[in-house]
Amino acid sequence: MGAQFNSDTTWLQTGWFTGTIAENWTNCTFLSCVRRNASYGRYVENMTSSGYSVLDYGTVALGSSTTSRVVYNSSSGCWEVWLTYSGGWVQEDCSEPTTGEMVVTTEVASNSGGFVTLSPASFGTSDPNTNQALRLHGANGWEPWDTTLTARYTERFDERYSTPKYVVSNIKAYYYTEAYSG
Amino acid sequence: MDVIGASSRPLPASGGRWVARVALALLAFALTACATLAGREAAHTAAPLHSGETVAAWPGGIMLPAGQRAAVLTSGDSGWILTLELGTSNLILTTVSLSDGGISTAILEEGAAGSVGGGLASDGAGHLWITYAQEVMRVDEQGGAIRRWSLPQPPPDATSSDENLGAGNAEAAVWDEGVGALLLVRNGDHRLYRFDDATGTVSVVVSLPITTSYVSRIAISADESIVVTGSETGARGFSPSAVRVSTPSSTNDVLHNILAACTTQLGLAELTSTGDLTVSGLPPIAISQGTALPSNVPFACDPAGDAFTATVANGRVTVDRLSAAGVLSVTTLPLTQTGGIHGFGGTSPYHWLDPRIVALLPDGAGGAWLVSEVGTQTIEELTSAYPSMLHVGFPH
Repeated sequence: MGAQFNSDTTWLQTGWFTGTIAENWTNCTFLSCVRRNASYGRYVENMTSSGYSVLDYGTVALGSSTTSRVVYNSSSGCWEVWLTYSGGWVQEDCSEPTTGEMVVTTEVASNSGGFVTLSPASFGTSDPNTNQALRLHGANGWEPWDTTLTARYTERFDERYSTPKYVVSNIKAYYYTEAYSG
Repeated sequence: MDVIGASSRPLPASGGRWVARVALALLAFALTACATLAGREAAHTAAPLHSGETVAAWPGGIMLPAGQRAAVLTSGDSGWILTLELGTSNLILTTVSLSDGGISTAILEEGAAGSVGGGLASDGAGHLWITYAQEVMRVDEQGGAIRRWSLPQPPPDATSSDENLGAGNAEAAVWDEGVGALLLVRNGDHRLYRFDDATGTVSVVVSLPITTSYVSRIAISADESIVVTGSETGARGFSPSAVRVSTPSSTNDVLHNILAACTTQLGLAELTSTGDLTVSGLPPIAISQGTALPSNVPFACDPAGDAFTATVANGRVTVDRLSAAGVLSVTTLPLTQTGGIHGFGGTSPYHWLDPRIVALLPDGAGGAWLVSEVGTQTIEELTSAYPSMLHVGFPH
């Protein structure tokens, strides 16, 4: 999940990963790449006008869940990533606009072009008024990320019909979804 | 550090933000390609006495544990860096010899609670003062003995909330020689505090018409007025402002659009969000090529009266030094190029690795050390494209 800025040319994202997230497959260096084999890790990926970075923030257990935030702090002018709900602020980006488009997504990539499977991922929960639901916070407090969303904006980018295609299952429209290989 | 060429600094740009940014990217490539050939005249709000640019390279430098650099401090020949280590969340204090780069590191706390920034100050009597999370720590600079005090709960308007999760954390700190006490601010707060180590109590020096945070700075001028930076209270977004507090009356003046401040022998140096640098009321000099500066822009002063800034844009790091004599010098370092990085909107125009430079430590001899969040880490065995610290010099 994350926030997109400046017409999608800059962003701040966090989530879990396995395999490799890389800007350069052949030269995996600190900041340019994170990689895991047979384990899952938390990452923060940041693209700014200063450049790209991706960092591994440690291992997460298979089947675990986490409640994270990507939030703008008007006191500092920075967007912040919180890996857990009430603690664990890990990274800031102080060079973005005050507004961004929020996004939740799952991605899969194959460097070789061979077959890969998109791991099932669940976002949110069935109750929109809980900490675990996908929701947006603004001047008037929390707002469920649902079809009545009128005062905020979220990213619209959908590759479910790409090749290979994958499935998005809206268990509850917008605020509770699952994605997996089609 | 290898100096591989020299030229004058590029022209500042102006205009709309996004359009200007694209234009600057193109301009930067052109300038990088002919950096050792072209001569250009700098354009400033007020022309400096001299300007020159040195192009430097990255090899060398110092590696530290990677992580958030919660605070940095220059004290005499030493630099101090407070790091929340990536992966372990250990709170680490590193001492760096600013003359030869020698380092020593100590773990202050294992698995420290995640926090937002902090502060470092020296009392000039052998004690280093650290503000972090909800604590004040005093470290014996020689023996390393540590004494801790818990801060009182923050006021109700500065407690953690959905609006500001890190509110209440102790942030910037400075030692006030005039009264022999530590001054500090807290995240999401509107007050300047004084800590009395004799009683372990915290008192409010003055209420501020700004909101302080982990990008705030405190500077004390020779006339003992105190400048605190933050965001104008009530603004919809971040609105950089500073408050000049005159002591002992505690009256204050709001200085709009001031992003950062530090103390030189000539007086206060102030940096605006649009890159105008002023030292002690002298005419401002534009240092950011028209690009809006991030709220956490690295900014520092040395005792000789030099003010330093570092900006990262257009595929390079630019370090500006404005001397006490009004001489502007510039050193640039090229960033590591990447391939095209694909995002939702296509390939990003910013195809280089961010060195994540967050601070500057002046060496007291006219140069400065860049401080980056990059470094060694144990989560994955990866080499780093940049050092944690790199010394930057300037032509005499």
